[in-house]
Amino acid sequence: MAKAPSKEQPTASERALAAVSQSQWTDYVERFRPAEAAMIKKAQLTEGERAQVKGEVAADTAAAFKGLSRDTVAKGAQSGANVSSGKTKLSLAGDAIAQGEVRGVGQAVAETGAEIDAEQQKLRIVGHGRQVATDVTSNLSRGAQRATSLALAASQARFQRNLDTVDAVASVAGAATRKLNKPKKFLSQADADAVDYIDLDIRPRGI
Amino acid sequence: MADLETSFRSFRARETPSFGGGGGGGDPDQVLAGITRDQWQHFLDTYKPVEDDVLSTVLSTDFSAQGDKAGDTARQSVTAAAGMAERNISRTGATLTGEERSAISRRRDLSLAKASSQAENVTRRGLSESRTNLIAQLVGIGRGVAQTATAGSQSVADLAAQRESVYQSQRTQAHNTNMAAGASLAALLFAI
Repeated sequence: MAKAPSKEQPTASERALAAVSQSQWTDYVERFRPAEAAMIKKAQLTEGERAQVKGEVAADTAAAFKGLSRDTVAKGAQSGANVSSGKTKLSLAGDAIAQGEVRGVGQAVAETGAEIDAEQQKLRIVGHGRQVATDVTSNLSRGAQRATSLALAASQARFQRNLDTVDAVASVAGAATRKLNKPKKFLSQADADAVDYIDLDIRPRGI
Repeated sequence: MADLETSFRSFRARETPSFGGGGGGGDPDQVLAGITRDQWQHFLDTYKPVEDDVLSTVLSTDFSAQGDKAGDTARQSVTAAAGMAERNISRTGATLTGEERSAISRRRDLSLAKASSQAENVTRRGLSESRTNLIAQLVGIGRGVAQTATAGSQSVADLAAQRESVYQSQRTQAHNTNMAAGASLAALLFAI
């Protein structure tokens, strides 16, 4: 009788793979998922960030125009002109309005740029997300393949046992049939002798 | 999928799966299923809302709201600058004549028109270019999604074909074996 084999135990390589995989998964969940959450949060343009962008533009514009206003007043004073004259006042007002114009356009453009950056960042997040979904599909695909292989192997084993049973019955039947159909002696000894006699009889004489 | 969800209903994202692998832990298949379920849930919770947001906004080609907002930003800046200029002049003790006020108003209005139109145009143009680029990237991502779906369907079809092939093979084998066994039994009956 053949003895049924016991299940194979995991190899050292298999155990090492399991341990390293577990470690990596834990690492991912504990350290990298928070980074993903931060990445997504960062892609949301808040009112605070909008204000910050505008503030930076305002500061840059003020710095750029500060010298210009001083020059206007200083030049006016140096040339002996009255800084309170209409011409100087209009010049100062013009400078201030020009500064407001540059600042306003700059702020609008910078805010739009920040929105565009946020949208691009969101799209990168969508790409990351779809990679996660693809990983899921790959896992499921591999799992389905493995499950189907196992199911088919089990089916084949069961089927083979059935075939073997039928084969065994057929073999027994075949053996019994052969036993029952064992060839009978068609010639009695007397018949055989007669044949020999006849044979002798028909041989040419002298041989 | 349904089997996975049924089997690992209790799996929680915060639980770190134990791989075991003969080391005294869980069934590796179940662990993989748990991770897979967790990943899918993570996708749904974390990434899907961003995806919905992007798809609903990026595909829009109406930038009037953003343009209006940009124009408002520019106008507010010019208006504030003009007001500040008048206050600063007053602070020096000087007064503005009606003609001077009128000149400053004209200058301000000119700047308002210039700044707002420039801000609106730049914003609309910038967004339009950016959206075109984003949509192209979205289409690429969409193709990837379609490829993944196709690959999954192909795998399912392959497995179905594999099962059908084994079934047909076993059926034929069973038929042949049964015929042979029947013949043996018939021969036995005749012999008896």
